[in-house]
Amino acid sequence: MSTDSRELEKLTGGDYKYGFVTDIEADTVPKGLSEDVIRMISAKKREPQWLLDWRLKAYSRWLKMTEPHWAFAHYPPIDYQDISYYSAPKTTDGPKSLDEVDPELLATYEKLGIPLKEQELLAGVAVDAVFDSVSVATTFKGKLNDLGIIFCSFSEAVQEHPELVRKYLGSVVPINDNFYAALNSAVFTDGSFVFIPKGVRCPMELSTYFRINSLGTGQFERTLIVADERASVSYLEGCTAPMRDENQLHAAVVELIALDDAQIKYSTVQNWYPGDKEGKGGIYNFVTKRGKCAGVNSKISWTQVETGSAITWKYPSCILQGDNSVGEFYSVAVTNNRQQADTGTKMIHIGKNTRSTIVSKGISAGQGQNTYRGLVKIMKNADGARNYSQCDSMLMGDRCGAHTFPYIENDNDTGQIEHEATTSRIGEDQIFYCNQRGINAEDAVNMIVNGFCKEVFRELPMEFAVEAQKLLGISLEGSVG
Amino acid sequence: MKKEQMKVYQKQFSAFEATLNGASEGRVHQLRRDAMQRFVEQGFPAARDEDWRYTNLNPLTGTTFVPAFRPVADQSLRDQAAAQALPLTHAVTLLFVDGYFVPELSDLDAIPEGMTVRDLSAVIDEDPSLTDSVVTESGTLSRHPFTALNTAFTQQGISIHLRRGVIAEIPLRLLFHSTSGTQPHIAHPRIVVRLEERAECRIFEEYVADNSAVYFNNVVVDVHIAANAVLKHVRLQEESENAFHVSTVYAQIAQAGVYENHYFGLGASLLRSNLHGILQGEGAHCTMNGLFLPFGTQHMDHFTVIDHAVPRCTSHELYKGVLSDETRGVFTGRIIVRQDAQQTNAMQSNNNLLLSDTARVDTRPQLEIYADDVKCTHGATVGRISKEQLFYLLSRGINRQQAQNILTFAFAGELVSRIPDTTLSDLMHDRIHKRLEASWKTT
Repeated sequence: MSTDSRELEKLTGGDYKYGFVTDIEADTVPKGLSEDVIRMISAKKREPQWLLDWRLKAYSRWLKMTEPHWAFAHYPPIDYQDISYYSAPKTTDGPKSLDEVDPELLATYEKLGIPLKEQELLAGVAVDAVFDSVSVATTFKGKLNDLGIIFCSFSEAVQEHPELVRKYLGSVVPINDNFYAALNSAVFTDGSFVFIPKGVRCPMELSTYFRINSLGTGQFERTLIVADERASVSYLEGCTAPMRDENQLHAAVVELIALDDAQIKYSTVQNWYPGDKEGKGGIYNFVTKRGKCAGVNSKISWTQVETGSAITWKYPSCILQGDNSVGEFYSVAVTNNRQQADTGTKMIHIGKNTRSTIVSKGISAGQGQNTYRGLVKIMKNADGARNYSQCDSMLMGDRCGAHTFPYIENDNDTGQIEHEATTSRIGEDQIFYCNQRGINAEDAVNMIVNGFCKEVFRELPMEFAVEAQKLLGISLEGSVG
Repeated sequence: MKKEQMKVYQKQFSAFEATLNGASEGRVHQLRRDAMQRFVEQGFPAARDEDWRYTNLNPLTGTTFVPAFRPVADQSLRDQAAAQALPLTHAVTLLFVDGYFVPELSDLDAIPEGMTVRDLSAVIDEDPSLTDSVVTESGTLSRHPFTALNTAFTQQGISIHLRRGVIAEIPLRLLFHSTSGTQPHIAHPRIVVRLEERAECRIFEEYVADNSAVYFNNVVVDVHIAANAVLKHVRLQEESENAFHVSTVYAQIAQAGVYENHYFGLGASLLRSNLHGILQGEGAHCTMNGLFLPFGTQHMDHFTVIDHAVPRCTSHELYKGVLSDETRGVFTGRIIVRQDAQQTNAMQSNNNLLLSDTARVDTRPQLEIYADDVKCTHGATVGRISKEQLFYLLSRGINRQQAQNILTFAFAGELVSRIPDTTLSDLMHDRIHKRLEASWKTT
């Protein structure tokens, strides 16, 4: 046991592997938030008037809102005037190809193990990389163009496809949805936009690697994905951030819209800087993610692996509006040291015969606090709705916590809901069993944890599954015992 | 909370103070005053209070209640109560009318050796050392407006005390009968149960009422279980269909003590049942079983907390709801495992059966865990009668009505069979059966 715990400490106490700051000249606006800052952001991005109005409306709503504190998380108050709301790497003209991209930037990605070129060549993945707030490189554009797929940065979409942006922006997450969504709506700088036209099946995984770089810059991305009738797409989002002492706020908004018979699969691997062992520093990840199954037979699936951030506060949700639509949520959340995660999902069943599945795996180690908070709601007219939820927690160490707060609201007698949750730690006997067979504690725990999370990893696209397992290896493996 | 309503309660409190004569200077009364103060500050819970989000208290807070009168002991009262109650013959019955204990109509002679049953007001007057466990609210969980209100008016009710090592063979029945009056009345009965080490007993608490009487029963039960003591507590709530019922049970269980709570909810238009089990000594065990069968437009809200404060305790919880008509059912079950409460084993399950398309159920099973060497599970389901099962029975020549009855009872019966008293279990079986048949007829 004592060897195990030393092993555990060694493994969980590993330094943050991705901690480095890339020295690139950045174009940053002064700290603080006011109407002028919003006008400035909008002007810098040469946005149309309607979008500026939309931002200002969100800002005025935000001013009237109060910061929510119901989540199971403790942190010092955030000074919203101490954040710089815009930061873009200084480039005179947008790079036309990868060769024009600042080599240092490329090197950053290299260190992260996601060389753009390699991905372009080998993985067949189109990458829209967000470095701080502006997209710097987009690949495979031509190939996607031929199919009529739009995959570009949000600012580009505003310029090139204003009618689509205007139609769908804020249609799933309204500007006054919550405090952080309102803030994002007011100040978002960039993000990704995807539109899959009717009947098109996107031939490759679309992927964005977000990276927070400049010190003192919060990042407010906006992602909007629309799958038109019979379209389907799989989207990957992955995050790593360099080491820093200051807490950083990250308040993104992701909106998904699936029309008739469309399918969207959204996968996230989140590995932002979690703070040091005493809980100093680290990212505050307050994200609003929501998908709307607007059409019949549509499907939205969320998969997330959350290993980073000091505080994670996100609930990727599905509004199952179209009849026979399907919502899925698969999640692995890991908290170590003093990390806090309050995450889960909402499944709102509105249409008939809608189905949803929730599989959530929480792993707490050190003094980490891991909370699953979810809502399953079956509305009056959602005949034949069906939900299955499973929330398992694994505890490692006697100072961590695992909490489960599901809300189940059923207003229709034909609805069927099942919820199950378990909390336990890995048995010493399981590890002992492996040790006996010549597998060391580290590998044994790795195996057991990976087995615990298998149901979720299975849902990840191939490229991500590998990274996710690696991440889990770095942040946790061996922590049980 | 509307100001006028608060004033009504404050006025009632002043009137109550006036009836106490010299006693209003004592320490007990200071506690009452503090409680009243707390109640006034808090007011009734609002819908934005997370613990109350599914229950609208407006019908309750909008009704003006007058304090219940102490009844005049008359044999007819006992007969009236008996007519409504389960025909239980093997238990010692203590009768309460409108919240007041009526010793003259209770089987005080039959109380077993080693058990002391006394009017709470007498106990409070005589033994100030008791006030700590009687009037102060158990633990921190009780910062609860309804408990504060009960404490402020503490006088009605009884104290039950079981001496060390005494095993009471005969169950004790607390029969609460509420009468219909000209005005809606409010009662604040308080029951204090204390079991010394190795003592064992069964208590059956039963609430009945005159048909369609309007009143508010605000009950608080304090249970103190010493080491190795066992209390099996069965509660049948069958208030009138117009009544309001808020009951709060605080059970503190010491080392290797056992507390079982079996709840059956049939009555009241608006019910809130709070049940807190606090496992304070190693090896303690707590069972919470509950079955609720609302009818018509009844609203039933169950809020349970099991607090594993120390290592090596076990708990088991099963709540089931059968909802017909336009009823609403709410279940919140929270299991807390404190830091260092290692080797905890906690199981919780909530199953709900919807019999009509206008019934609604909200369930929140919650786990809050701060220790790692634990086994905790919870599960919740909501559904309706399985078509396949129904078809199976229909295909064997059983008519639809009967088939539905069989399946519903199969679902609910599990809890009846767990009652730790065969006679009571049989009686309850019939009672629940009748109730389920009636709910199917209306659906």
